[in-house]
Amino acid sequence: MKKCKDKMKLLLNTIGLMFSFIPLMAQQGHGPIYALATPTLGKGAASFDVAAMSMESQDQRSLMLRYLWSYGITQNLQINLSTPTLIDKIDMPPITRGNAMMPANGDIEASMYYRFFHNDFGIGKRIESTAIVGGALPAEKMRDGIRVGNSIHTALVAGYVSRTWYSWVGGGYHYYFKKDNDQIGNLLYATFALGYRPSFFQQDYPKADWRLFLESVAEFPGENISKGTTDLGGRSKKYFLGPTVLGLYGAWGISGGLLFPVYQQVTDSFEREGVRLTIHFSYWF
Amino acid sequence: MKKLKRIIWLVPALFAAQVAYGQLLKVNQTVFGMDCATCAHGVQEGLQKIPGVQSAKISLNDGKVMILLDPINHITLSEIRHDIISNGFSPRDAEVEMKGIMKEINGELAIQVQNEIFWINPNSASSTLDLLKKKAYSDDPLTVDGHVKNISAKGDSDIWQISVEKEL
Repeated sequence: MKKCKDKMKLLLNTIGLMFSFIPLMAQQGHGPIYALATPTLGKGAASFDVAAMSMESQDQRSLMLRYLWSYGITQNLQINLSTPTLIDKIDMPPITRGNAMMPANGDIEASMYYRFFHNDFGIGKRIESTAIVGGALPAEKMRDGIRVGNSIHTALVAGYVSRTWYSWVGGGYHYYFKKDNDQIGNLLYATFALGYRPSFFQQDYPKADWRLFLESVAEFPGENISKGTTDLGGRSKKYFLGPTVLGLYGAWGISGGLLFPVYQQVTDSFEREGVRLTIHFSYWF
Repeated sequence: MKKLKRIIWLVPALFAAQVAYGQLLKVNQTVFGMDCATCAHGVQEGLQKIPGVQSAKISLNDGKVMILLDPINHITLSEIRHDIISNGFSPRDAEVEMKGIMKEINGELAIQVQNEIFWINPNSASSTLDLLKKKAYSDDPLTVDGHVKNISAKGDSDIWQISVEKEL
C-alpha cells in the first residue's frame, strides 16, 4: 500500500514538473488519447507533445514520460518521432500500444500518418480515413526477460467529426522482429472513441474548446518467444473502457483520462492489468 | 541622375498599375470541416502571415473566416483559399468586397482583380448587368460587394463566378 502511495506521489510530482516546463515545451492531442484518430497537421505545421503515462499490474505501477515531435509535410501526410523516458518499470509489462500516437514501452518510434480520404461536407463536419505506418527501435535491451527487437506498426482508422459529435473506429497490428532467439509477442488491437462537445462548451474561437470522450480499446497480445520456445498459451484478450477529456486554447492542448479494465483473459506469461492513466500536453507551432 | 529620374517615374507608374488591377478588400470565406480551436488557430496564423492581411477572424460555429485586407495589396482569392486547403479544410463560397476593372470578354462581363477574373453571374438582376456593362468601357476601377461561388467541387479552382450585390 505504501509502495503504491509512493508511486502515486511520484506520478503527481512528475505531472507538477511537466507543468513547470510548459513554457519550454510544446504539444499533442487532437483527439482521444487511447483510441486511434484521423486528424493530421496542416502543411508545414509542427507540434510537440509530452505525455505522462502510467500502467498498473497486480502490485506495481509504471511511469513513463513520452515525447512526440510531429510535422505536416502536406495537409494529409504527417511524420512523427516519439521517444521515451522510463521512470518506473513493472516487471511483466503488458504488450500494448498504451497511447494511440505513442507506444507505452521503451521504444523509439518513427511513424507516418496518411489521411488518404476526407470529405468536408458541412460547417465543422467531415468524414476521413487515415493510415498509419511506423517502425520502432528498442531503447532497452530486455523486456520481461525477453530480448527486444525492432518492430513495425500499422493501423487504419476512420471517423466522423463535427462541432458536437466525434466518432472514430480503428485497428492496428504491432509486430516485433526476433532478437537472437527471443521475440516479443505481436499485438492485434481495435479501438473506438465517441466524443461529445456539449452546447455550453461550444463557445466560439478564440475561447477555450473542451470536449469529452468515451474511449475503448480491445487488445489481443500474442505470446513472447524465449530462447526459441513459447508457452503456446494463445492470445490474451483484454478490453478497456474509460473517459478522457481534451481542452484546447490557441496553440495549447491538454488532455487526460483513465482506462479501466472491463474484461481480461490473460495467459500465464502476463499479469492482469489495473487502471491506465495518461496526462498529455500539446503545443502547435 | 538619369537613373534616379527613371526610378522617380517608375514608382507612380507601378502604383497606378496596382490600382488599375485592383484589390480584394474584404473576404468572408465559408469553410467546411473546421471543427476545433486548434484548427481555427492554424488557419488564422497561416492567413495572418500573408503580406497584406490586416486581420483574420474565425467563427467555428458559423464556419466563417473573415479577412480584412490592406487597401493596397496583391492577395488573390486563390491564395487565401489555398492557405485554408493547406490547413486541411475546404473553402466554399465567399462574400467579397473588391476593387477591380470591369471588362467584357467574348460577350461576357467580368471583373479583373489582380490576375484573377471574376465572371459576372448572367442571372444577376438586369439593372445590375446594365450598370456593369456601362462600366466595362471605362478604365476606372469600381468597388463591388458580391457573392463568389465555388465552381469546382474541390474548392481549388481559380475561376470564379460572382453575383454582384451592390456597387460601392
